[in-house]
Amino acid sequence: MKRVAAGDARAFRQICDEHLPAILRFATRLLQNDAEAHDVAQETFLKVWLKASEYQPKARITTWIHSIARHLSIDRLRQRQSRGETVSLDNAVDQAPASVEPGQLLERKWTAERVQTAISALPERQQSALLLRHEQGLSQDEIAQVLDTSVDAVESLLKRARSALREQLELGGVDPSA
Amino acid sequence: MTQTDEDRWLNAAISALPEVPVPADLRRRIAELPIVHPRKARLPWWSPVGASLWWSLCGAMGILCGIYLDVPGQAGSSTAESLSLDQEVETWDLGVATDNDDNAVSSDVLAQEELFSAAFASQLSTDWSDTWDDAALSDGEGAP
Repeated sequence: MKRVAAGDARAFRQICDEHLPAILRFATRLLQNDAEAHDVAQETFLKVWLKASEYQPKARITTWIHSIARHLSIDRLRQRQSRGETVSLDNAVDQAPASVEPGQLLERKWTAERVQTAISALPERQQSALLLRHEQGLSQDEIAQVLDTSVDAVESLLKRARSALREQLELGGVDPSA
Repeated sequence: MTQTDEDRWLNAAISALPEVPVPADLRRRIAELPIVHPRKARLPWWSPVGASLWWSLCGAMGILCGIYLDVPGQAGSSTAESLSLDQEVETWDLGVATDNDDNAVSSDVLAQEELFSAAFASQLSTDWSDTWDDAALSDGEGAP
């Protein structure tokens, strides 16, 4: 990161290669819109490039980048809310692997839709905590840094998110462990 | 359900979500960010160039303060313009004294100084009261 701060474009590209898939996935889950998620990913890495000197090594790079991506996603969600737009799930569920059988594909798509709907129904902080923990693989301490809160608050957020998600999925007849 | 079971269940739920591929176009655009948005180099204030910029700024502020406070003798100050004739003559005299050490140039200057001093002294000694046209100043009375 010091090299990026010093203006090393090659070091910047290494960071992009390493973190872009996770950041794009995180933004896509939060925004449920490919185009907006692409914009957020690009803006995130632009900030990484321009503000590299502000990075403090006490946090992991991934934590810092996720924090930027989350803030940019929240901005987008607020803009969308102010325009009174509704969220479409179509973008998020049409990308199943081609090797899956048609029957399985339908079932998978149906499950994905239910899971995505259940996650989207959660408040933003619970969504972020859940995705950062279970999809991005961040520790509770790191999630606390991304959400700018305490570890206890993260535990509480995760507990509520799990409970709400489970309730939603059971109501929808989804059993992911099956 | 234990915490581990719950985590496993949630991981399974979230893994049901579709993969998010990274488009090559997006990867290329992000890789080009350093070219499209070259970062402006920031000069720390203690660097030689940064320090010289600070000194320039201080100098500019000093000049502005000087003008504002109207320091005597400084270019543009009203005090400099309001110097008495005696002071100006003294200044000229000083100039002549210092230029005496010089050769050809100083002799020219000296000659000009003398001419100027003579003309200036004659102007000062002239009684201008004779030149006034009293008639012309008395509301037109006695005008031709």
